[in-house]
This record gives sequence, C-alpha cells and structure tokens, in this order.
Amino acid sequence: MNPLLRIEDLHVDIPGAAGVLRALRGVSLTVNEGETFALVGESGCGKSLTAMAALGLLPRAARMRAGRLALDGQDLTRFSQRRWNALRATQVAAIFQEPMTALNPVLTIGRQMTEAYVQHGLGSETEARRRASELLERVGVLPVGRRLAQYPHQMSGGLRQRVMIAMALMCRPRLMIADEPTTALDVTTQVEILRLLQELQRDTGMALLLITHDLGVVAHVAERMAVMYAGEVVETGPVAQVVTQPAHPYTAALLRCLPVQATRDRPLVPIPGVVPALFGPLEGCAFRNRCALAGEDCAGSIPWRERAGQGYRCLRDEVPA
Amino acid sequence: MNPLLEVRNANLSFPTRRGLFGRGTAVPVLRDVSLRLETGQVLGIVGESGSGKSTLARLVLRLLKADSGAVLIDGQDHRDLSPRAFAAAVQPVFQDPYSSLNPKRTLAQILEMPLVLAGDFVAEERRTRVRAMLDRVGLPQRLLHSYPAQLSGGQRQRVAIARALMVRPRLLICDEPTSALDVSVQAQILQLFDELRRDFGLTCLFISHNLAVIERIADRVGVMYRGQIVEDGEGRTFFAGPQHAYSRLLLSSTLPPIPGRPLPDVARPWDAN
Amino acid sequence: MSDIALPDPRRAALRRALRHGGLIAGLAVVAAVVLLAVFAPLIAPHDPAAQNLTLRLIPPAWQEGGNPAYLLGTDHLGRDYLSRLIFGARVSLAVGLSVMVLSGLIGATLGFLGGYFGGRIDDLVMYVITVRLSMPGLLVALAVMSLLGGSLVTMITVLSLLFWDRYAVVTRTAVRQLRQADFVTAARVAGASHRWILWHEVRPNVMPQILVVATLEMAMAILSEASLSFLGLGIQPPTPSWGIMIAEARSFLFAKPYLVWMPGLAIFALVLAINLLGDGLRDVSQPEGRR
Repeated sequence: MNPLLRIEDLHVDIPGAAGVLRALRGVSLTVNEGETFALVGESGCGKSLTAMAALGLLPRAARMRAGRLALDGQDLTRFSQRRWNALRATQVAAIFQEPMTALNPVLTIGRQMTEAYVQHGLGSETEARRRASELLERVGVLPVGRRLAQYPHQMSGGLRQRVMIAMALMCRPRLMIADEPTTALDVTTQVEILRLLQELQRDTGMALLLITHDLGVVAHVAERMAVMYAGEVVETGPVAQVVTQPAHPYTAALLRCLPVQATRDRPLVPIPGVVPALFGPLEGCAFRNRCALAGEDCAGSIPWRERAGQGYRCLRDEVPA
Repeated sequence: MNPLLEVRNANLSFPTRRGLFGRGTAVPVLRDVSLRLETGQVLGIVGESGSGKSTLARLVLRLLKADSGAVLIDGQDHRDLSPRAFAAAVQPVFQDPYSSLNPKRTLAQILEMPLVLAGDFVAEERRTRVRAMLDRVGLPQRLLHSYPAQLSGGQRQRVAIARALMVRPRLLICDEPTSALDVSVQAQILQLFDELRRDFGLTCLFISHNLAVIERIADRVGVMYRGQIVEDGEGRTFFAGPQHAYSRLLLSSTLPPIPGRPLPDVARPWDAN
Repeated sequence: MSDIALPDPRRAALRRALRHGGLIAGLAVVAAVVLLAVFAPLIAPHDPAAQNLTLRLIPPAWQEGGNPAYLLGTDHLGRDYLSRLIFGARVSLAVGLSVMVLSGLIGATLGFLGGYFGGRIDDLVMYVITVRLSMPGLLVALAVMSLLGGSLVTMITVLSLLFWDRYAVVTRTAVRQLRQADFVTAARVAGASHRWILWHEVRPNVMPQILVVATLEMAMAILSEASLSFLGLGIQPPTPSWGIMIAEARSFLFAKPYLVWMPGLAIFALVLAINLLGDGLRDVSQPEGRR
C-alpha cells in the first residue's frame, strides 16, 4: 500500500484576543492510496482544521508548522497560493457538511460544475458539460438535463450533497476529503450517500479522508482511523481493532457514552468534565483530568506507543472496554 | 382517567404564499395525527426531517394552530387554558442551546423568568428555587451571574432544561434536545433526563431523529412519516419488531459502531412509481 | 463537575473598548465638547452676545495685532469668538441629542412593531418607511423651516420627524431575526406578554445596533442644524450657532479666513468624533454572543 497523504508533526497556532490557541499539537497521520481513512473526534478537537491544512485552506491568521505535509511525494509545506489552487482543482477534492454554503446560490448547477474544469484547462466547455452530465447521472441526480439548469435552492439536502460529490469528482481526484458529509442528513439519506461514496471509490480508486464524529459511520465505511482529542491524535489503527479494543482511554470512554441500538440495558457512562483550554503550553496527557485511569505519571511526557498495528499515546497497558 | 396529553385527529397545513396576489396552495404537514401520553411516561417521536415532528411539538405548545382536531391537556382543550395555566402545565426544551438562551441575560435572570411570569413567588423564594435548580441540573452556583456566552453547549442545555423545570410543569416538550451536542455531552444530558424522571416523575414528549437515543429514553415510540404517525407502540415491542415498512427502514439505517457490517439497503419500494 | 470559565462578555467588551483607539479618541472629544457646553457660562471669557464695535475683527492672539484678552479674536460686531464657539456647542449638542433621542423613539418604535408582529402591522410600517424614504429629507426640512420660521424647537421637531428612517430599518431587521429565536418562544410559552418579551428579551439585544445608528443620526442632525442655520432657516441670531457663525463670516472669507475655518473645524471635529465613537461601539459590541 502506497501512502498518498502524509502528515507528520503538524502544529497549527491561531492567535486571538484571549491568547494563542494551540489548535493542533503534533498531528501525524497517513492516508494510503485507495483507502478510506476516518478522522474522529468531538467538536473543537482539531479534525476539521487538520483537513483544512491538507487542503491549504487554513484561516489567514493561523500559523502552521509541519514536519511533513506531502501528497503523493509533493511537499505541500512550501506551496504557493497558485500551486494550491491547481492542486485542489486537479488532485484533491473536498465536500462539506452543508453543501448550501459551498454552492453558489446564483449560478446553475451546470455552470458551477463546468467552470472550474474549463478554467484549469482540464478540457473544453463541451467536454466539461459531457463529464458533468455523466457524473450527475452516476451520483443519481436525475433527470440530468433539468438538474443542470437548476439552482442549488431548488434541491433537497441529500440531492445537494450528491451534486457536491459530482462536482468534486469533475477533476478525477486521487484524494477526497469529506468533512462531516452526512451529519446534516437524515439517517436513510446518510446511508445512501455513504453507499454512493463507497461505490465511487471502488470505481475510481480514489482515497477518502472522512472526517466525522460518528463512530457508527466509521465502523461501516472506514478501514483505518485516527481518534483526535484536544488537538492531538490519541489513537490510530485499523477500525476493526480500535472500535472493539480501544487502546486509549478516551476512545474507550467515547464508545461507552454512545447510545447504541439494542443495548438499552447497558448504562451510558458520560465522560465527566470538559476539554482543557488549549492556550499556552500543555504538559502531559490532555485527557488526564477526565480519565478514570489517570495517575500522577500522566502529567509528564507521554510517549507514542505501538501495539499490534494500533498506535496510541497513553501510559496504561490495559484499558477496560 | 384522562391521559395527560392527547392529540385528536390533528390536521395542519402551511399555506404557501406566491407573490402578492397569487393564490397559495396549502401544504399538509400534519395529517390526522392522534396520540396519547400518560402521566409519568416518555413518548419518543422519530422521523426524518420534514416528517412533521417539530410541527407536532409546536402545535402542542400552542405556537401553531391546527386546521382541525384538538390537543387536550388532562382532558381540557389547551386553547382554553390561560397563558399562566398553560405555562404551569407544559414547558419546552429546544434543540439549539445557543438560540434558546438570551445572550443579554444572566443565568439568574433566565431561570427566574418563569417564576416572575407565574407571579406567585416573592423574590426570596425565587432565588432559593433558582439555586436549588442549579444544583439539581448539575451547574455550579458560581455561574449564577454569568452570561450564556460563558458556558459550553452542554451547560447551556442544562440551563434550558432548568428553565423549563422551574415552574414544575407536568409535561415537557423536548424537540431534539441532544442533537446539537457532542456524544459525550449528549450522554451527560441523557443521564440528567434519567435522574429528573426519577425525581420529578417527568412526563415527556421527546422528539429525536436518533433511534438509539429514543430507545434509551422512551417508554413508547411514535414514528412519523410525511405528516402521519405510521406506527405507535410500546418501546421494547417496537424495537424488537417494528411493523411498518418505514419503521423497519429507519431502524436498519441507524449505524451501530460495530465493524465488519455492510451498509444496509435503504430503498423505499413503496415510493417507487 | 469542572467547567470552563470563559470571560464575562460585558467585561470582555469593556476591555475591547479600552483598547479601541478610535472609540477612546471619539469619546474624549465628545466628552470635552459636552463639558464645554454644560459649563459654557463658567468657561467662556466673555458674554457671547456682547457687542463692542471698537473691538471689531481683532485677529486671534497669535496673529499680528491680536489681543490676549480675545484668544481667538472677535467677529465683525466685536463679539469674542472663543465665547461664541463655546456657546455654539450648546446649540449643536442640544439639536444633536434631542433629534437623536426623539427620532430614535419614533424609528425604534416603528421598527419594534413591524419586526416583532409582522403581517399587516409590518406591511403598514414598511409603507410608512417607504413614504419617508421617498422624500428628500433636507429639502423637506428647508421647505418646512422657511414656512414655520426658524427656532430651536421647530428645528428639533422637524429634524426628528424626518430622520427616524434608519432607526426603523435597522431595528425592524434586528427584531425580525430575534423574533425567531428560541428564547423568545420559550418566554412566550412561559406566559410572557408581548410587552414583556419586547422589553426584557428583545430590547437588550437590539440596543447595541440602535446605539450605533444613534451616533450616526446625531452627527447627521448636527450637520443639518449647521446647514439650516447657515442658510438662515435654523437658529436665529444672535444665538451663537456654528452654522450662523460661518454664514456671518462669509463676507470676510478672504480677509479673515479664521472666522470661517474655526467654526468649520468645530463642526468637523465634533461630527468626526461622534462617527469614531459610533464605529467603535459597533466594533466593540459585535463579537458577542453567538459563535
């Protein structure tokens, strides 16, 4: 398996009125060619920011520092704005939670789909229209002829997300970054979109970096995953292992507080307390103030450990599931 | 014995306004909805967006008026109740903890509001009750004079629940109260609901799109689809074997965190035409 | 349970205000002018209306032929210019503040009614706003003032009846959004009357926006007063008004330019300061509340 996207020791600081927010603190992950990699965590953990860094779309005020940020061997840390634009037009595509904000409300679907394609010299207007039609048909936005002439607000949330996917596929990306693509959708529509993404991956061989808070979605579609907490990756590994035998107490706690169908008699165990503020230097394990297994040793530096394909940042060997 | 809440054959449609002079058509949102909720029970309502579940909540809260049918609180048409009597009986908890608290008022002011409006309490009594309620929902006393902007989403939702409980209402209408929260916070709020049910014998209409949440919290389940309640039954029986095709589809579409399973088939054969 | 202690939003706003240069500068100038106006009889070295034709057109003290007793010189009737400028501030502020408050009451009331109740009431409010917007404000003021004759009270009344539109539009839009907020619904279900909701739930949330409009309107009223008085349709002499002072100095524009630029500068500085104050208030009140 060849690594496609490699992020090593990524730091992002965001200066603000209240001080410098250490939003990402040494994030490392690798997405292999053709695989689905899930980045999981709760709001504010830095999962979207990691995606934005990989897309070159960090907020202007953010300061980034990375040991490595590479796509298919190209070093992205030194990319100019122009090269980022070209990269996003041809190799990496992104879809977001709310397609309405990513679509231009005053342009027709057809216009939006073809414009960037032509602009970046990927083909002629005619070719662009043909490809747009093919893709809309493929993602099930029918009847294609009428849909091309419609505006985003004339479609339902599920259809808009399909349009976004079709639009993202125009440039035949090698990597698609999907940030909470199904969070705003109904459960049945969510399954439809996830199935579509799976099929498209099978057809095109693209890799998918799926950013989500939903462990149920992860278990069904991803092969490998990373769990983020307070700006760090705390655990990574194959989904089948991480979800059934979590190595980090946070992953275990997250699974314990998730209501799952047909387990009504298993008590939900909320995680006590709140995420620490990410201002200034943070020593030791960021989860220790909420962790049942924490001890005095957790205030020191925590090494990254590996066990049977799972990597995690915790001193404890046994984590009760 | 009357049920605490009864909705009888409620129909409601929204007029669409087309321009200044064009005549709008009516879009039916609730179609012959009937339900009963006994004291002490939690009735979970599930359904997809646009199924009419939030409209049902707003109808019960008297924020909308039905075209036909009735909503009865303890046998009495809820439109016949005075604002005070209604407030003492029914209180809401909303989805968005950011929109549900006035950013310009302190927690003390927000929590006192229902008591001030109820009018039966002297200032001293109001303060005592507010402090007791803060304890009850697990908020530290020192937050009393802070503003909503100083709280996390979970804390805000605790305040919203506390506000609803201040007048000890008999019925709580919860519209997606945990949907905007992270799962770890959602678990805290669900636990709080459990405790409140035990302490106050809360009766609750609990609307959610999350079946796993409904399964945990509800005694009875109603499934809404296109403005109708297509299935209604006791919780355990429902989750063991849903009868309606849409209920089964909904149940199979929820994804548990169990690896190795394929994505379910979500075709709607009954919609094919 | 531990919890995040985020800063008190009021204290945070105050901190932002103290660090906002424009706001502080604007506030300082406005405060200084207010003090001058309030204590004018104590501060002014001379009676602003006392004429002394033997002391006509004395230049400012720092110029050739200046007299230290008349720091900014005298006008064509021998009145002390500094004293007239100080008393002129009274007129500007009286008109500015009165119009700001009165037009604010009219506009905000309309905005509250239309935005909150919607429907027919809103249609009516929108109609009234449209009618007002289709009238050229200053031109109507000119016509009415020349018809009724100028006086402080007439001017304040006329300007107040004309300059409420921005209040109405801004308030209406803000209230319309707030009406949808869940906290308003919660208050309704808790049995609150519309009056209670408007006062306790809605008003505190639109005050910052109204305050910003208020500064703009005050500046506008001060400029209008100066223009009308300059044209002889506003405050009547001998009451010292900056507009009148410029008008009276017109014939000396080239011989004694200070007679024109001094009151001109006063108007400019006060209006600039009020606008800075308004911009500052907007900057400080904005990043509050929601995400």
